[in-house]
Amino acid sequence: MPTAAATLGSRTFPALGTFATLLVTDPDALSLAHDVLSGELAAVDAACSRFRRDSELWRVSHAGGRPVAVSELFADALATALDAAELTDGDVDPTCGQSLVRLGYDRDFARARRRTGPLRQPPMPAGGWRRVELDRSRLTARVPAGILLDLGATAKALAADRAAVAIEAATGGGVLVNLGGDLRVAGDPPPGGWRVGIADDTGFDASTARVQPRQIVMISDGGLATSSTLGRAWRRGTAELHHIVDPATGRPARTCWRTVSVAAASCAGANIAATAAILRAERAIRWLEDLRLPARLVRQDGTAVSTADWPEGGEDQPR
Amino acid sequence: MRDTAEFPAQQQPGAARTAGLRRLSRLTWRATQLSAVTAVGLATLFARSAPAQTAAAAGDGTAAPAATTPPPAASSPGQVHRKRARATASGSAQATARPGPQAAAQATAKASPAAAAAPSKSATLAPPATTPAAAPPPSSAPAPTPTVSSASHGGG
Repeated sequence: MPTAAATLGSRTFPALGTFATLLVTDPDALSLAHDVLSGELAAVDAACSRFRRDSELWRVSHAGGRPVAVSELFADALATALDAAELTDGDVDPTCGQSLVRLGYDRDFARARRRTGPLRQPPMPAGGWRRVELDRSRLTARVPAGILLDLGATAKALAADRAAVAIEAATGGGVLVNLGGDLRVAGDPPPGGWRVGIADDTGFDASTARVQPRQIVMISDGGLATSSTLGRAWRRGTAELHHIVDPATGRPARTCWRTVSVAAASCAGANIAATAAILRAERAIRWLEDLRLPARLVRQDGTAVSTADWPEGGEDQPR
Repeated sequence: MRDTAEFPAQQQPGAARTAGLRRLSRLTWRATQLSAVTAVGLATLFARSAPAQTAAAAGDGTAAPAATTPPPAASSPGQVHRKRARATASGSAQATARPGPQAAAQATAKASPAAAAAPSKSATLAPPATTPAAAPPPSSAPAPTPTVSSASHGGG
């Protein structure tokens, strides 16, 4: 186990339309860890991007309802997304792709947010995750015609999980992978754990991945993710929009929470729970308590609620 | 008052024997008919359920005869995607070190052999083994800058 947090190796770089931060307990392993992470990110982007016409997601979604052969990685990503839908009773639905397109989120967010004219089409509910078929043994997937997949709620978190586990296996040391706020740790942590700032998003600087955290917590295992209505928000005409869509209506979720941070055994699990909590509004508190998931939920007015022994205090930063 | 048909009149022994034999014959014939109908029903039921059973067994990793390829109806939504025999990517892994860019896939595939043998979900909502703790108060030594969990502005 490393003796001082100051010996951590660290690198931050752009990835998946956001940033990636890599921390390792053995600085000498940073280069190898970076190679592993870069390879994983490239593979996930090629498989799961909604904006790349050469991605597997695009190919499966535009096959006219025919079964399509897919890679093990894409099958893993789609299985995770379908599990997310099942675990949340359909709140986190991977068939919201057309809903997001109707809301104007039809290209990389940095470009999509530049268009501000009024929307031309009415909202479109999710296509229905139960209609998507995945055969893990044959590695085929079938998406009914007209449904566009969106794995945004799970693919990035899954990438963090996969990368962290692989880096630990490759280097034998402790590692933290943070992909735009979805993070996963693996291996032996630094003494006391990994320092993670919990932010509400205001003042976020996408170019440097810097943000003023509200609270700093220490984590030693598993994953931690934050979902928010503030992060990817945009305006079309007079409508204020964000990317967390209610599958039943195809509209941005109306919720009492502006930000939800959840810790779980994996980053995918944390992100699924955080996104579902946004959609479940007040019901989320009881749901997260029942699951024993430590979480910090921030209301639209900035007041915070916590569940399942999420730590109080820490190093709260006054604003 | 009782119905005379419910209590037939007394008959001669020979006539009673003939009537008994006739009744026995009729019962035997009806039993044969019932057996035939039952057999046809069972055969129909088996013909419908056997391919689905075969598909389920094949999905769980059990070898299935090549001649019993399941029909498309056996791969209905919500059933097929649950039939997995792969390790969860989110599980803890103690895989062999494999340096290089391909290590992600290799390490994931090697993670937790026991988990790989059993069908499991790719994602769960399990809590972490250790609950997050509050960061200690600042000391005289400068603390490292924390990495931040915050909803990102990009991706998709």
